[in-house]
Amino acid sequence: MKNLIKKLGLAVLVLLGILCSNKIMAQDEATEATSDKIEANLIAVYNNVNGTARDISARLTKKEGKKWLPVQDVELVLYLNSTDEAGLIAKVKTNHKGDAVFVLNQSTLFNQVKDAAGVYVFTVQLRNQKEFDDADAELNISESKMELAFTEDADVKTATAIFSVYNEKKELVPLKDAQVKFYVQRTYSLFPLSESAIATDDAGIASLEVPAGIAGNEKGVINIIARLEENETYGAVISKQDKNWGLPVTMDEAAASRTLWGSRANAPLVLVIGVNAILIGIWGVVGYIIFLLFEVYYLGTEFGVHHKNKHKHKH
Amino acid sequence: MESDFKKEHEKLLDLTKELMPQKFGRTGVIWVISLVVIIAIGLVAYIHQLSKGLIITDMRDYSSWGIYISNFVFFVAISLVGSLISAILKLTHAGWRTPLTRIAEVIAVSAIAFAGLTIIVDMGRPDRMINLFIHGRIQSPIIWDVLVVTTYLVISTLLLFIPLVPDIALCRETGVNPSFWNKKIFKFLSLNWKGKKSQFFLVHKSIRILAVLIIPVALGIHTVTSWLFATTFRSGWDSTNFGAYFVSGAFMLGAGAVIAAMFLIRRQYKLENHITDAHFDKMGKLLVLLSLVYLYFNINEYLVPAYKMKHGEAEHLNDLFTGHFSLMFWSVQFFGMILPIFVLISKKGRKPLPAFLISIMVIIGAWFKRFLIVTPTLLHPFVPIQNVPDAWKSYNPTWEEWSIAFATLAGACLLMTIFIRVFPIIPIWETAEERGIIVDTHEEK
Repeated sequence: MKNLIKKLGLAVLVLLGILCSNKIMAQDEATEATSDKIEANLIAVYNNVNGTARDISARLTKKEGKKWLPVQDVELVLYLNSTDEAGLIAKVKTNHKGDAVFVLNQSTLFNQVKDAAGVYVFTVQLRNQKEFDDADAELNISESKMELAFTEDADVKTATAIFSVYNEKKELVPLKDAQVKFYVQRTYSLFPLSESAIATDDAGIASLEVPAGIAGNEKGVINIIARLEENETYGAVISKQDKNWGLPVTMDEAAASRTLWGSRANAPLVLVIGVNAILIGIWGVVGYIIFLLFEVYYLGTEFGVHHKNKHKHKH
Repeated sequence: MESDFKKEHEKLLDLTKELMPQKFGRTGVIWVISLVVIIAIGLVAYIHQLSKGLIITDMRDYSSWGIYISNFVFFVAISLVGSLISAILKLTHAGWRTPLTRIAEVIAVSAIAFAGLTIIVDMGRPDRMINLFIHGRIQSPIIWDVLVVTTYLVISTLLLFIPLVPDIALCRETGVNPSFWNKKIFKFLSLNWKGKKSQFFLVHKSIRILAVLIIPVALGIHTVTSWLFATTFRSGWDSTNFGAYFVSGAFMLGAGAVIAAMFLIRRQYKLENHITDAHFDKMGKLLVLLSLVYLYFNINEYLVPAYKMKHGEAEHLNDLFTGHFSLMFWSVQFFGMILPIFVLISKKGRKPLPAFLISIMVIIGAWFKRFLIVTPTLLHPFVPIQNVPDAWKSYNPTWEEWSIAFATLAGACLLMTIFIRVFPIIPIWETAEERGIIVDTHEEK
């Protein structure tokens, strides 16, 4: 009897095992069935420029083969401190590069909670997309301050960045070993003034001798930038200022002169006049031919009969 | 006097009835349906291209021009025939050209219209076409090409339309094609034509002016098209000879196209009395002459650089002579240029059927010739191709490109077919004038 019970118990266990395994398999299938969506990569960066212009830049990409491609026209939502209606800052669609920029200074909510010593929790969310799984990017940002100062001693011109953060008492204190890099703004990119970042000292100071001979505008003005490279706690903190330490560069007159390789506005006059004269000449004749066609039509009307004498003597 | 006019007018109406467009038979219907199907497939491919972008083509960084541009150059070339037959032969008083003028002009108008369309297809974003006019640089040969293509289209259309006006009036009068739309179209297009001397005077005057005007514009259109290539520093294109080379090739292709069209139209409409064997004979001789001129330019274009074999040019030329493109290159040279000369130089070769077959070879050869001008050069830049996917190093047009290219060719053929179905393809009044029938029979009081 005991044996029978043991055997029955074993059979029940095996059956349960089979059923459970079936159930697990079914769940796996169900999971697979709903996992048609693909994984998207969402990253976000906090930018603080001169302490006045703050934004969150998010980028959404998806993997195709070995490439990460931008995802366009997908809505991303930014929350501050809580991921509910109360914390909603804005909804922005990604552009063709997969970027969505949330300008914080335009947000009423952010302006209300903004505090010199504030610590913010930003969450960028991707939700309810047919093609993609949900994704989040969270940033815990503490307010900080980057100041830029300039000194000039004989031929040595020095740019000094002072980086400070808020302590527990909400006092501004210098931060040691923050990695600051200096740049000069060029038309399409940033021109680095040093190969590697410069660490701040005890006073939160990082200094760099600005090399001579950097091309500036016609007055020699260059835009010098000190930037705390993307930092988990403070984000990308930037300070930028104009300084007339560059070489004055005036536009090359030859480049602006009228040449075949010049811009549309600088086409050689001979060409402009020549092409237009040919066009006017040819289209003038075309216009005359169309006028003759109207005359053919007119000659076919009753009024045209009176017109015949004009042509008669020509035959 | 009045009865004389009536008799002459009756003769004119008889000739009109003889030359009026006729309903297509079974072959004609199959031809039209085939063209419509090809166009429909091309439209589907084009919609696909519009939605996905030019990435669906095989054009990449190096082969940035493909069969769309080959097709464009082919269309521009074939369109030159309008000026050859309607203007050059007219001004040289070649009287035999009369039955061929309208065929040449309709080929010219259809070809140049589709040349413009092909450029829009190649642009990828047709909505940006307007930017060519708004932001275009007058220094750019592309802008010159846009201007000259538009101008040539307008002049060719006028040169097709103006000699057609008296014929449209005759069609309206005879009422052989009495459908509602035909009546409406004919009434509108006949410009109140009454057959008055004064009206004929203006038509003759307009044709004379246009015949003179179209020659420089026609030379301009293909010379400027050649400059699209020759103004860039690339092997195979860096030539001061390109304008003349392109123009001579265009005249040859155009003459071939006219012979092919003559044969098909004569057969379909049974026009043996109007398009005679003598016309094939003369057009055949003309084609031989034009082929010889084109052969001369080909020898110049290939022999001179081949003699020097400069580094960049050498790779390109070796690829043409003995490499990847050699089969196509030698086929084009032989079947599209040398064989036509040898066949058409004999009187038997200038009979309608052999002349037709040779002209088809010339047309096909001419299309591939344009491909050989565009693609091999692009695949042989002076700067070595490196660090790019292998697929970028060759060019194999996708099904979308082929479909669209064939659709444009079919479109041009359909346009010609519709014209031939609606309007008389042999100029009635000019034929009447040649036969001594008085055409200006309307009395002017």
